[in-house]
Amino acid sequence: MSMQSFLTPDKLYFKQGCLPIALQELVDVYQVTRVLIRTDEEMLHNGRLVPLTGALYDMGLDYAVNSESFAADCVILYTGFVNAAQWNALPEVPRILIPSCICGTFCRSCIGADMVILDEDLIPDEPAALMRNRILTHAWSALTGGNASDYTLSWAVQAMRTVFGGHTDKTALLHAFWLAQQAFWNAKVPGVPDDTAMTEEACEALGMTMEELTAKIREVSDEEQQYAATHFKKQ
Amino acid sequence: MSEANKQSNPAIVDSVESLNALFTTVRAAQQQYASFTQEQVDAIFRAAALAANHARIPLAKMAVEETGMGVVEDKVIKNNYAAEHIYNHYKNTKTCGVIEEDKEFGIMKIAEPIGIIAAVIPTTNPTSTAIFKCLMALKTRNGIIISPHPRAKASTIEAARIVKEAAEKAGAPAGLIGWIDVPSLELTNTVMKEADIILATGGPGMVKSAYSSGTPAIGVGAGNAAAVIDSSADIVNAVSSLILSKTFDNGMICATEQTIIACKDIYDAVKAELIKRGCYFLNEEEKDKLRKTMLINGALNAKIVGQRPCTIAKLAGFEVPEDVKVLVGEAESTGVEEAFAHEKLTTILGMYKAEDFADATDKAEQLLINAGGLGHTSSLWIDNVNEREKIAAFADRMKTCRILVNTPSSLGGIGDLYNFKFPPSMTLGCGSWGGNSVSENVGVKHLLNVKTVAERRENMLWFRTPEKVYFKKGCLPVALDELKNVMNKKRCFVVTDSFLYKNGFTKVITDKLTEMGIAYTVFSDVEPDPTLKSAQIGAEAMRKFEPDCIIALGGGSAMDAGKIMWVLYEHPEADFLDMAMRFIDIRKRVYTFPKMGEKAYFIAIPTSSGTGSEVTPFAVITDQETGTKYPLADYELLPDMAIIDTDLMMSAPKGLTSASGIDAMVHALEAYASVMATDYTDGLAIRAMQLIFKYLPTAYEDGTNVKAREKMATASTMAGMAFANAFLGVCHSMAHKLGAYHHLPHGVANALLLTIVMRFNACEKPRKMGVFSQYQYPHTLERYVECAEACGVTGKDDQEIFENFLQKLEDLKVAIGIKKTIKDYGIDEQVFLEKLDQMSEDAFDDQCTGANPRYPLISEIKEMYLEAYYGEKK
Repeated sequence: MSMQSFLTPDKLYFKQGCLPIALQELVDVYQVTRVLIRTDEEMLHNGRLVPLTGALYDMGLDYAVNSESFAADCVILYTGFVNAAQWNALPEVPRILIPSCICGTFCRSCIGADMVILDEDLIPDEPAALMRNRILTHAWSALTGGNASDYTLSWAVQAMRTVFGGHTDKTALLHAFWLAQQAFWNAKVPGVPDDTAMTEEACEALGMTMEELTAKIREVSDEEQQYAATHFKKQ
Repeated sequence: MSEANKQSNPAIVDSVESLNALFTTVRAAQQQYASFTQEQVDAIFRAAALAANHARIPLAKMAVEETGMGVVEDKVIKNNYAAEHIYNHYKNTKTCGVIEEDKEFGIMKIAEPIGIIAAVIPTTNPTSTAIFKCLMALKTRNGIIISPHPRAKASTIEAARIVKEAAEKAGAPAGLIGWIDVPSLELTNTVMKEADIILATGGPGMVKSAYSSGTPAIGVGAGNAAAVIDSSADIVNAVSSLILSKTFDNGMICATEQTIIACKDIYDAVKAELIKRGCYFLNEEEKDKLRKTMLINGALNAKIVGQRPCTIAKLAGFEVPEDVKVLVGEAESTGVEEAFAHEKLTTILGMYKAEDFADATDKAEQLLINAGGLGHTSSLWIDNVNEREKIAAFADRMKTCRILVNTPSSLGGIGDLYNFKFPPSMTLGCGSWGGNSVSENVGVKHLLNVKTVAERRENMLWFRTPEKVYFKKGCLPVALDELKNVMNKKRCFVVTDSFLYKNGFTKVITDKLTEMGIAYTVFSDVEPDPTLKSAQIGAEAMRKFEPDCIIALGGGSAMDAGKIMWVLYEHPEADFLDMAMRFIDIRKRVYTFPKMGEKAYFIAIPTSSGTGSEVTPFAVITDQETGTKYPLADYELLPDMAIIDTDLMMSAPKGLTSASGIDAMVHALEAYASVMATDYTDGLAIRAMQLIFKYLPTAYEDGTNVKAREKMATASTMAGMAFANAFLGVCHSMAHKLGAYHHLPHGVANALLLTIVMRFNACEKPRKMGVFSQYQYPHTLERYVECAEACGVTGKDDQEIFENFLQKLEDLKVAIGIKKTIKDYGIDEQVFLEKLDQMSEDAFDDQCTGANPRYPLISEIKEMYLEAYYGEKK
């Protein structure tokens, strides 16, 4: 391989309550006036769109939600799932991604969005066991990606440190989630075969043997199974 | 009177003793009232307003009868207004407990009553002002003691009594509203001294004694409004409105017009209209008689206040018809000696002829300065659609807190009648010009103590990298492909130093550019510490060549010089001193950095592993005249593309490999310990440390080892990305100055200071910790232990792990040939000591100091320098 590269958002902004401060850049830097919000159907009814639309309203911006005909000069994706086809169908204007949950997943293009905003206030309380396993799955897969590098490894390992460190709080898991997404979508590239060379480096970086790492991963996976068994059965 | 009322206002208040007893009663009631809810307060407020409104006619009659001033029908309006408009305006205003809350920003405002208001009531508007002040007290949960004017005490007290009874009937604690029955100067002074706040409406003497009492006071001043009539004004509307305003309650509202200033081209038309609508123009003899009657020893004659023209004329010794509305005296002087220039509080107007609008404005200003009324009210009649500039000029000139346009100023000034955003009030603040503490129409907010509860919140943080980062040995020509295929660039400017140029490092770039048909030029005069002068020369060359792409190839110097040239090329107007201004928060800095990238795309290509400049928003440049280093920092300086190709690093000499390699280690360690460190920078910093420990000795010993070179290149860029976002610390602050003062390589200077600074930072009880909302307690020892453990260091406790980590770093320094002390590098002791104080102060002031987890004292920096010089604590 003669060349490698990685994608990160042009601007990644984070901290609880940062939404209105980050959005101010739409006006100050991008001179945006009309915002198209793309979101999931259920968000229209559960009230979770209000902080975003409220902030846009306070800034005096026109906006529309999930409209096909609205001529926007900026798109905000406030969702947990975006695939490449959905991304490519977006208009060619600044694209802002605001993850709406930690159990979601995106696509490689999303990682290179113009701006990504991580604000705990916009993330629901999801069961920690589900979030932790979800993050770990992405982080682990990133290690074996054919395009893995020291950069993706550093992000994946940092996400693993958070999960193995026993963190269950939303803030720590939100950042681990995004690190794992960045690592995963950079390391796993369609058409590039898997490569396990980085897994040994990762063990070393984590100060673990492969057996210890495997056991840890199983532990987190069991947590999720257990959670699912006790909670989903009842419904 | 009901039983409760008898108890709450038990005795006639006519002495200091009985006033003190009243204070006890009011205070007890107020303390009880302070715990009432908004709902309870609003119900009481409403009931009191209703009762006052019901009594509007009897109170108006009583006031006119008692004072002998004003017009019953107009006083009815005033009473009605004081009850109705005040209620309507404030009925939904929150005045109790939490009045404002923003959970996201963690801020809350809580309204608390002040206590007891001393309310001084004037004779001109006795009942309406009493109603107004009592309602305001009720709405704000304050108690109130009224000090009436002796000439209006019966009607004032009756108004207060009506409000009090209604309030108590609606549930207010008995005795919340009290008054002085037999007013005297002594009692007025006592009530002002003992109250918690004074709300004084009255003459200048009264207001002054309120401010002198030692109690916080809201007093208002005398008016003297001049009505300027511009040539563009609607004269018919203006004249009738002026007459309406002037005759309202016989001119006793303090915002009423006292003079007219008409431009000369319409003067006669205004005069004719005034006469047509019932005004009387005085002849010279009558004017002189009236001047003598209006002012007695320079003070307004109380006998003319609030009187009709026929009454005033009689007093002055001449007759006018009974139906005359206003007496108009034409005047020329705007000086203090001209009686018509003064506030008259009755149905007399002075009238001036102005050359033009500018002269009219001058006259209006002169009247305020010479004859009083500063801070109160001004009035302007004008075409408000086409003459916006005149309105702006008038508003700019008048030192008055109410500037009314096309509005009768008496009724306009009290608010909510001719403009519905203008709050209604019977007490009009005149700002510092009028000797007041308030410049607005006094409202409930002035009678509350507002507590702000501000919860700790964290700053928004960020993670930013160049849009494109390409890496892998041999990737340079592949990455440059994009210039043609994706970006369609036409002209490329290459910045590098002469060594790299002469040794053919630029060839791979220029060959590729030639192959792609992109025109290029090479600037190869970058010096080791690039100067502003050489950057200016480079920028000049750029302006001539007009590149749409800049490639900076080299170490930190070439990349920094390239960034500065880029700025000078795109923004020749930018000032270096402004751009280099120190800041605490890069997002709140005073100076807004110019927008970059509009002319050229910037590519940074490092040839050594250390500075990380290819991914950072920083650049340092030296002023060749003064030797001053300007550190620039802004994300606008972030390269658009970074290309990290190990091929360019294979031939780096040992000294460079060691100095730049250890520099990268310090970048990683300082970024990790920084108060601005985040999960995003942590992961990169730790990986960089792991790689440097593992590969730097090999890269140093065996420069041909491709893997070691490649891993060091990666580590350097990763550390760069970490400190591009988390910033550095005091080790770099000190190394910058040590390098500048004693010409030590930057990496070596850092290496000599590193473990000393780490021990300084690891202290668990530092003299001062770093200031940053996210940084909660001195946890740097724990942070270093995290680094140590990730790098395989063990120990029985944190302290031992930390010590072992420092040893590992010292071992690394030895392995790459770095000496122990500053002294070992041949720096003369005498010279070092001579420059030490200034160097310490400069290091303290370095931009890097702000992110350090321990805020250093200058003396502490000096101690660390000494330790680094001698190799032991001095």
